[in-house]
Amino acid sequence: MPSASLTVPAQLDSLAVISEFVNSATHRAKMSEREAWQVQLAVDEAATNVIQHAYSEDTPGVIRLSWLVDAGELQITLIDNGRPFDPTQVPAPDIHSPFEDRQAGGLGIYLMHKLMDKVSFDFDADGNTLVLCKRFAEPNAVAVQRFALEGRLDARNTATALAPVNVALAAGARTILIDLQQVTFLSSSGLRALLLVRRELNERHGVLVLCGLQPQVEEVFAMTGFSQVFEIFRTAGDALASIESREGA
Amino acid sequence: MEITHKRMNRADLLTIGGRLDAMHAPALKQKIEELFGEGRYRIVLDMSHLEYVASPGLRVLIESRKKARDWKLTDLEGGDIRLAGLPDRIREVFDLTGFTSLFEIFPNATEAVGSF
Repeated sequence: MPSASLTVPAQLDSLAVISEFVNSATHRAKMSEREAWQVQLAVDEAATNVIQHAYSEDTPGVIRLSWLVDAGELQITLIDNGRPFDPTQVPAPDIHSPFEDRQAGGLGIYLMHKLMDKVSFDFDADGNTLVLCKRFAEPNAVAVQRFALEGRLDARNTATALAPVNVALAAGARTILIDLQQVTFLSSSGLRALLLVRRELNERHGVLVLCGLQPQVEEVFAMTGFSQVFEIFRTAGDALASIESREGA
Repeated sequence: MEITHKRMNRADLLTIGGRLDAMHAPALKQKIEELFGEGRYRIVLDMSHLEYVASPGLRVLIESRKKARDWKLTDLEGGDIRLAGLPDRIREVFDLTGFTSLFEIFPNATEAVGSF
């Protein structure tokens, strides 16, 4: 189980280091950019709370952070030795109240709850322990989703041809193989659609591989410089072998 | 965080970039208070270069806007802080916290300044 820990002084200067630390965790969990940002913000809010409220100026202290990735869940723990404070007991601000009545405080804790799947608090002689959990879509080691496209990938047909791929993407696919063996023509619309698939997969640290390009299709990739952008294999077998070889990495 | 200031006839335009978190929120608060001190209560915050906002930043926005609106030129006209150019992530925080309906938000700084 990947894990790490960090101890920093409970002061605002430490927020940048904490952010780096969280970054290493979300990166290790291969979270999407959005999930990673949600965790960043939640931990930032939790740490800011400790820094601003747990300790007083004449009795400075530290925050001990640790993270653990296990079974599709990232767990981040913050421990401090300041005065006991249970953020799970703070009432949520009324986010629908009109501006005049709107309170300025309480938003950090509210955000923490909104952004994470689970927030729990405990305190004992060792201090305050806050545990933040975030589930994430786990990259599936075996589930290569394979699509064989046919005919002309032009302005008219691309959307229909790529519809099954986009359905899989929406369902959280991480590894996609697109077989272009039966594709006879590729226009800029087709290329653009493939680029969008690639971008979406990149954002979630996924993989897109192409195979079986006919010469006239291959030429379009070569002319536009996209041969270097996409991972292209001669056959589906080569593509699958390449995907498998990196699973253990 | 970077803050740049441009004085217009209708309002003062503050462009803020980078991170608006606990570390940097006081700098924005101070800049806004400076403007209040000069009798400038009409302020546009251009957030199009903002990368990150956390609750201490949100707090500064609410508290500053309350002060700005306490200043009245006439019964109908007064001070305000209006926002422009929210990037997606900032917009998401605004949606989560109900800030989207709390502030007047414009697509860009030009429209926000023009709204005064």
